[in-house]
Amino acid sequence: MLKDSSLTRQEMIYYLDDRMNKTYSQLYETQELEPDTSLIKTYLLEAHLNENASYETLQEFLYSISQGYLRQKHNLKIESSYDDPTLFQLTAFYNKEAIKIFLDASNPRFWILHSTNMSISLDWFIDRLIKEHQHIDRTWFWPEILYRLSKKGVFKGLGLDYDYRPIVDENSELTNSVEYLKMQLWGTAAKDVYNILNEQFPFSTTLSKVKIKHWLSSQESNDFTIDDFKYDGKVTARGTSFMSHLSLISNTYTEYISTIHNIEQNYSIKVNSINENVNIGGKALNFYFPKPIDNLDRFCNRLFSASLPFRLWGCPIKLGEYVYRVTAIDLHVNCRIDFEITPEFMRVYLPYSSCGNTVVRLYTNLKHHFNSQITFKEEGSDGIF
Amino acid sequence: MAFSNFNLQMLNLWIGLCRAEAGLPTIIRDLGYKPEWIELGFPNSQKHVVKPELIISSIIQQHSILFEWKEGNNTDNDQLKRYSEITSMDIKAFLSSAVTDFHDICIIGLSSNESRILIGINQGQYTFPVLLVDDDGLELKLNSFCIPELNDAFSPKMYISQALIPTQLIPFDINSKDWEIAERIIVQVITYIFNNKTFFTVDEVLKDSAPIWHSFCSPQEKKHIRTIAIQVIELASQNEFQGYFQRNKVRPSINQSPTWDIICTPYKMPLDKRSKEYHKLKSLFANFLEELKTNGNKTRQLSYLIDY
Repeated sequence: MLKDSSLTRQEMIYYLDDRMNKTYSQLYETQELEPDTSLIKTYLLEAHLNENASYETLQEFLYSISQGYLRQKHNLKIESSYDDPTLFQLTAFYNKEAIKIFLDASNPRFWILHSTNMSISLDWFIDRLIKEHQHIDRTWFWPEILYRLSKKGVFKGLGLDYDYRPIVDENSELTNSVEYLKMQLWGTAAKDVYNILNEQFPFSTTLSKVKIKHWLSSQESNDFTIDDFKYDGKVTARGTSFMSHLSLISNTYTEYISTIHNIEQNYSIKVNSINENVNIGGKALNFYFPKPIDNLDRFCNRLFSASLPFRLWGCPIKLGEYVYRVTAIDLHVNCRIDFEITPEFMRVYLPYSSCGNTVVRLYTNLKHHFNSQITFKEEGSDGIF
Repeated sequence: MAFSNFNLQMLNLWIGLCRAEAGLPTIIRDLGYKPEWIELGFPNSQKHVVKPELIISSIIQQHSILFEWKEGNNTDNDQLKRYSEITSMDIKAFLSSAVTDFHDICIIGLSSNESRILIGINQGQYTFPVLLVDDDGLELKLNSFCIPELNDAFSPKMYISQALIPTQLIPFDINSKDWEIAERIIVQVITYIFNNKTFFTVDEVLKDSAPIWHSFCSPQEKKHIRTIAIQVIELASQNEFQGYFQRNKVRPSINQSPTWDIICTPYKMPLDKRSKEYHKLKSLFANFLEELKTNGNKTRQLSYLIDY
């Protein structure tokens, strides 16, 4: 099993707070960072574990992760905190750089990872971790939740990321007016620019990142964080208070987790059976396209081609001239997910055993790679996103 | 073709109407109807058992509907008589009292069988509302519901495109063709392959691919579906998927459930090779389904008798 380390939660917080302060002072004074220093990075990941999993189950899961490719090639070690069974330290080597990551698994399913290593190494490591282990996935922040997040402090900037090319060939005549839009805007006027772009190119203006300044208590306080939240669950932090950063993370993650629970409890298709008397619970998630898909055949073939960004495997079955049915597999987590697709809408059926994360990822990726105006509709509610 | 049989089509349609799934009219959901029981057998006031295909109810309307639908052109007079003997007290046992004050027995049939169905209802002087189905939707042809809004919803017609009827709520039943069952269960087997499982049983596949079928079929019906599933999996293992899973005749059946070993999984391949494997499995699956749909089992014989 995992070895114990001397790490405690307090030590982790002191260390990261200290690094955060030093880095911010440097940035503030010189507008640049010294070599070998970098900002705090936090990655939000989801593990295929029950939220009520025991400490032993969590340890076994992490032990299995520690035995694979990353251990063999990059010397991955995972150590457990001696006094906190939900806190871990991961170390590895990549490109001659020693990587150190703190893993907070207080919720065994929804993990928070912190590190001060360079992004190039960390991004690689996280990416490899997810590819090697089918039971781990990123957190996916759809544009609406990012927009709401931007109101939790002073808005400082945003990123837009829209790429239609995975669905349509570059040489195809059937293209949108905007096929690829990637932009970062810093400054308080960023929101005005975003609103203008959204008006002119509503189908292609997809929020992918928000930068906000957040205080732990009041705006008069000196304790704050400036966080960049990216749609794939990566958060970069600078500021004077790691606790401010944790508070913002916790707040946002709570909303995300609530959405996942809502999807799994109210939408996953399940059978309720009492003494051989049966009823069926759950319902389809209905997504509507703002304008009809012009080539449904191409859309379905690309969506279920098993390749990035959607990573959905499936064989579309034609039911009518403009209707397809697909019994698909989400290759991120290898769970089944079922679809019916027309030019106007898409019904998504989540089997009982599958994760709500699958739906959130699909919605986020459709917004980024197909049409940012796709909506989820359910009358009588504000919608789940 | 979306459905091989009328029962499957109607079950999916009415559950979809209660949920107001995209593409369907919302009126049934707006009136507050929710699906309650599928094929619930219960005794009427004369202690004769009835088994409606589906029961839906609405607390808002304080009303329930018990459906009996028929693909054929004959009504069963004995069955209709049993339905006519149902009282509120009979249905209070399994429905909220808020929905049992008023109920309707609704008969649904194909419009191509209109005359025979209506004759059967009229001869018995039954007051059941009768809905007839054609390619455009459902029409109230005879009698009426207790709830005026329901009558309005089907008069002159509730327009529903057949292609938009949900298919994934209940994917197959006792009358389903082998390709319908294969479309679901082979994907479930492929899910096991991707998940790096080492073996699977037929009962596991059926339970994971469509939990609902397991709950409301009789033992005989379950055996029938199970037989088809075994044949389909075996056919796949001997043809398109012979490099991926094979029947294990040596291992004793687990809980008397035939077992197949998974012998190749993309999970064990390097990342760059996995992508090619995914595409290959797609082609194999598409080919297998096509063969089943066009030729059935006729051109492919199982190489040995299945011992289950």
